[in-house]
Amino acid sequence: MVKSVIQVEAPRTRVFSILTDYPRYQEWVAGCTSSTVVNKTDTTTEADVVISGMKRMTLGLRFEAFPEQTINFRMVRGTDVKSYSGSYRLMDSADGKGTVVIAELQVDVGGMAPKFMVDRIVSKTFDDTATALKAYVQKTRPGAEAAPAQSTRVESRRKSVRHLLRVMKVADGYRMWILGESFSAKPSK
Amino acid sequence: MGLMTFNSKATRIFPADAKLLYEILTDYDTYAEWMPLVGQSKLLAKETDLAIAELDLTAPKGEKVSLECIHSRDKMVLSRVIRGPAAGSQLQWTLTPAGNEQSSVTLTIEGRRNWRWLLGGRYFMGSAKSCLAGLESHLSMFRPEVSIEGQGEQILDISETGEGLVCRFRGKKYMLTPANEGSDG
Repeated sequence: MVKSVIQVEAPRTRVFSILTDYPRYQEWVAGCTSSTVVNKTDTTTEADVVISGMKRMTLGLRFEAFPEQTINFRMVRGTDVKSYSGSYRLMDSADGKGTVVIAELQVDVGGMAPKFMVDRIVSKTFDDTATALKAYVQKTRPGAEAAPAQSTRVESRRKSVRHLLRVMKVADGYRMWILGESFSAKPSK
Repeated sequence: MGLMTFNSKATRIFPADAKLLYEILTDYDTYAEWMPLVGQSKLLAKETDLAIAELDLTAPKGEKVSLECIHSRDKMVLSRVIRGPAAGSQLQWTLTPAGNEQSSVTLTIEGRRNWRWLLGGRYFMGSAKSCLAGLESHLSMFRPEVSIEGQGEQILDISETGEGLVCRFRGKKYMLTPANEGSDG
């Protein structure tokens, strides 16, 4: 399983909407030349996705989407790879500027290539997907969102008091504590 | 432990309750202040018991790692490297009360070496022992009285609190506010 973290400057609703707009995958997913929805229910969509890279692959994928949370997918048809499954999990970014997507993908190509090589290709695919998703978000930004995303981060209030400097007068002079280091000072005679 | 894997484990008793240690261990924005080999650190996202953080390493210089962290309040913090060098490695911090406002912290670091770690012969993030030493040093910022020897009168204390920077001078409390740039203040 290869994982990746993608930071997108767009609200979670919008990122979810892009990731579940399967017919438009060919507009931004790296290597995707066609994506056709063949079946759809409330949360599940099946689509035939063609990806042309080092090898042309036709994948019959079943997507299961949980609004604004997670999109799971797995191969249900196709013979180009043995198995293909993964997920996108969406979280609000801590700085309030958008969405963090945790992407996971596991591909089993059978005996065609060693696992480390497949993982490297998947890793590169994630980098390309991240770049493409960010560019697509920018390109399709609605007019109302033309302004940079506003930071809604609420500064987390420090619960425990963190000391930076302390000076104590003791019997034989002063003790100073600065950022974890202690020093002694005695009055000069 | 094989040639391609590593495992480092250490335990230390800290003069603090598990709550404070848990707070420090889940404050990913401040990891750079105390974790060995971490130059910059940032919390990317947090939801209930899951957090995603990004660390810039000082060795190998310029490398970034993404961590997926699972929390069990006041008991355990498990951080897995999901992206970057040593992907698949993990750090598990286990907190156990040890009586008298003390806690026992056990850190286990394990994972696979990549060729750079193999050549350098070092652990990811340093050894468990060095990480615990870093934590102990950072902890003193919350408990300075532990580091100051002798009894006496507190003259001055400057601390960072939920209200901002607070100064206590001879028992009187002052709130510190940033001076405007370019002003005399």
